[in-house]
Amino acid sequence: MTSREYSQAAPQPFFLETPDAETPAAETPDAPSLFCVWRAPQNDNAARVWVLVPPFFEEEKSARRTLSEFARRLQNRGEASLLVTPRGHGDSGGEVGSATLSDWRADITRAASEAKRRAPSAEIILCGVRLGATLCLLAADESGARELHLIEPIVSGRVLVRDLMQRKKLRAMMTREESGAENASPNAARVLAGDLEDIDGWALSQTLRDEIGALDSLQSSPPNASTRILQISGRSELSPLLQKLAAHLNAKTRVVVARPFWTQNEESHDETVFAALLEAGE
Amino acid sequence: MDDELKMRIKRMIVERLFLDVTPREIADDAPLMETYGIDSVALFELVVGLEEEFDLQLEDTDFQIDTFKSVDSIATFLHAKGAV
Repeated sequence: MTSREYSQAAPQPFFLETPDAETPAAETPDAPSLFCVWRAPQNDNAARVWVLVPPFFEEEKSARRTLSEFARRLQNRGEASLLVTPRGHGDSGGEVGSATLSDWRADITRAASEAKRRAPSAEIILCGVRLGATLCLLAADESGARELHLIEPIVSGRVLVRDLMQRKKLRAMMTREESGAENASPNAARVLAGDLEDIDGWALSQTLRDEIGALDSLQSSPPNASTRILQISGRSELSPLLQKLAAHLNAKTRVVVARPFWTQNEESHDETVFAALLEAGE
Repeated sequence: MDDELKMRIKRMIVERLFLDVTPREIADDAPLMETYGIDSVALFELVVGLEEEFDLQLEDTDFQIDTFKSVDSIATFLHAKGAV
């Protein structure tokens, strides 16, 4: 089978609907539809299927193109993928303001079940970015993942919340905004009432903010899946936090000196990033 | 001593922001945002870089546009914070 034949199968977007009583995720009957994109080789005989979990909030928008391109390249080498959009993001249903970490973890498990249904004989590989990576770590065993690829996983949720607040302050500082973000939000009334908090332009409930703040990947149980951590940044050495996490999870690591694709507004495909991502799965 | 500090700042800026210049090419008083097209995303990377390079945590009151105006202003800020 040539690369050209693998790549001829068009991507299949679909909505993953609320699970029925026969699926493991039936305990979440109110789960919203999740927008997904399935890619499989023409012969539909993939030995591996990747469940790709993007980062969250503003980072999800920036990461979309890179993850789609990664999925296309996986298809070119005969591997299937399911790129899932978490609830409250993009075209998926639900709202971030109503979501919890358990909801997003359940979304990943649902996506993995769907990938298994479409490719019953394939091994499941979970690949997540930033908070998506941390949630993949938490969902790895229940998803039946054989491999876990974590791109810049969030080690400390407290640091993530602080970073989100800092970004908001910096944007306000540069644009001389005071409370413009809150007023522009569709959840403005709830933000102003204190029910939701505007963090970097996203309205989070206090519950979700507290859950994220309490995240500590160093407290998670190492999964059964073989694990790899990728750092993509300007640093040429693995950060101390990721070193600790790698030791805790007995994970392999890879440092890629490149712009983090989840922060870039312009479309650009850094081949060093793709080389590292594709190498991670070999 | 101050030259060393400013070079350290410049190296961090070039590395974190993937600038296509050498640290030496950054003038001490060059307006960073205008000269290098720094947006809020890049500014955030700069803040994280400063915190990691100089082992400090910025407070709410530290987020003033003039702080990050140039290498000179960043060096002044670091001295004021006792980070060097």
